[in-house]
Amino acid sequence: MSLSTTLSTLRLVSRIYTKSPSTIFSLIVITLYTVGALATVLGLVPPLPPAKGGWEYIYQPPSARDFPWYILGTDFTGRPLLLAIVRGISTTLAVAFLSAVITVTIGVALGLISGYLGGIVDEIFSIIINVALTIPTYLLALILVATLPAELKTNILVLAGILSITAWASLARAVRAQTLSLRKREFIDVAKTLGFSAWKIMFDEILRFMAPFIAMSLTLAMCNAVYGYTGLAFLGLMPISSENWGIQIYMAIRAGGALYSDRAILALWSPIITIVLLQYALINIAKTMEAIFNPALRVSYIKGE
Amino acid sequence: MNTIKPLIEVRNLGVSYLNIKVISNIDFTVFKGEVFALVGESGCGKSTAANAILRILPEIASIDPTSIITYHKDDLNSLNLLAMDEQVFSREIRWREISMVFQGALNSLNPVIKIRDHFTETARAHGIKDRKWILDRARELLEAVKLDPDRVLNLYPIEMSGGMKQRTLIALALLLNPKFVILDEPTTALDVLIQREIISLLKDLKNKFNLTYMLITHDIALVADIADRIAIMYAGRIVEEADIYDIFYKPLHPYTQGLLMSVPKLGEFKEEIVTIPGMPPDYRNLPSGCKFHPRCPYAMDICRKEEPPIIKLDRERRIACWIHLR
Repeated sequence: MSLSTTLSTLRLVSRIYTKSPSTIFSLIVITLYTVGALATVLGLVPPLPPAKGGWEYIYQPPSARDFPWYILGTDFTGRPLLLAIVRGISTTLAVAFLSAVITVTIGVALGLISGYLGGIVDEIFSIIINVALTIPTYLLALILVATLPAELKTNILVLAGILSITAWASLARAVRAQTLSLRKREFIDVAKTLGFSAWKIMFDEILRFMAPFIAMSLTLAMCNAVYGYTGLAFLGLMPISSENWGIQIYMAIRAGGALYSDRAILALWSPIITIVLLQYALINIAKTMEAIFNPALRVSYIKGE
Repeated sequence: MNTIKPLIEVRNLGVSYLNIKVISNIDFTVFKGEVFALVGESGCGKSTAANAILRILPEIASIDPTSIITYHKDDLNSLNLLAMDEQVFSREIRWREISMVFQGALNSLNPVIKIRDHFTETARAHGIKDRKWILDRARELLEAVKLDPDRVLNLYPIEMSGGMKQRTLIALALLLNPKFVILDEPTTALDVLIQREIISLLKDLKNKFNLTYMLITHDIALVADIADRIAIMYAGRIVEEADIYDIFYKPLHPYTQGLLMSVPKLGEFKEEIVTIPGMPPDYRNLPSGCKFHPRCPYAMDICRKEEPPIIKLDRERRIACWIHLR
């Protein structure tokens, strides 16, 4: 692609993303989270101070000390809450992204091959997909995590794998159904006549047609993985750590009594709002992605309608 | 124009879908440099015949083992297309020697793939990796079909009009410099103005690139405009084959006469268009004898009992009808 077409594509993408206030807001949120995660990984965020037990240290009200880390007060270990939340972004995003990639890759590959090739391949793949569909993903993840040795419970790749262990099944079903209808279209017959290989038709012609759907599935799978990851922590299946939003909520209720007193109210609501903001932004981005991938919708953006 | 040498000879071509025979042992020859038209109603087997030449029949179709399609590649080489290995056929014949403008221009291009990629991918599927050559050739062809290459190459099919898509498909068919182009209903779904432009464009391209056309259509007016010779098909059989003038001025087969009568003429007021009574036959339950006899106004006893053979009346004229056989 030449430089000018790249530039015009970029301009188009930016126009699509700056069209409504909610997408601008979502974009800012995603950018902040990404910056936070990168800063943590690069070591720009200070490490957590040592834990200090005792009623006088935990769940302190906000203060301006070490600005800005104490503005949400302290958490269940007497550490600054904001710092703990920020340091939790990178693992959560990493687990969510990896899990989404695994889910979408398996789902799309199985669905495409099954739907396009048909016959005995479809029979076998359909059985696999149907069996996976009948297994409740979250329950299975729960059991698996509970039985994991402690050192694996913090392994990002293992967690991502467990969270997507059967999550790909419904996506594979949807992709298979779309492929079944797409493979009957005339341009696919034409592509076959032109000499394109089955591989190319599946993973280029048909895949491009489904690109908006797949991009959306990717972000939605990320949302699910965020819920799954924080949920597992909230249920107490992860080693206690300050840097996990699920554990922060869990501890605010269990140790801070946030449901009955105001003392840990910040420690309860801050991680919740952090999660909600992320999910809202992700879903908004998913919605806007359709306009980028679907040329038909794109036309209306070019015309400025 | 040299019409003496045959380019493609179809002999005894029979095609069945499952066990239902839809093309019954037809013969025809397309000569170099001419426009040969295969005309008939929907479902008479004309597209199936074209697809058999390009070997793109659906999987349920089977071609009779006695069928022969001879392609005269040059003066020395003649190939039986049906006996070739699929790999070799795909690499050396399809699109390089024989290509096709598909029916239904509006749906034949993947709407989410840019026109540029349609050209490069098609060439790549036939082993041409030189991007510059492909794009130069694409530009030349798009200009030949009177489109602006710089604009069109960057468009998605979804952003183009029907006429533009049809022109692009024609350019795509000519990409690998074929000698023989099958035009399957090239003007269906286009309005009459665009139809006229496409027809004159096809004529220009034929002269410019030394092409031979086989035109598949039900539009007899289109045939009159462009074709040199016509074969009329009915129920999977060729019932009449003749020079364009003979068909229009001296149609012999009752079906051909009926087809021509059903075309309204300009400047003529008719209460009702004359139509051929009845329906096209059901392939699962074909009538005995001549397949046209239930709809034929001149049907005789022999028509019900025996199928007429196709005979040569003179050099370029063949007919299958008992009236003219005696």
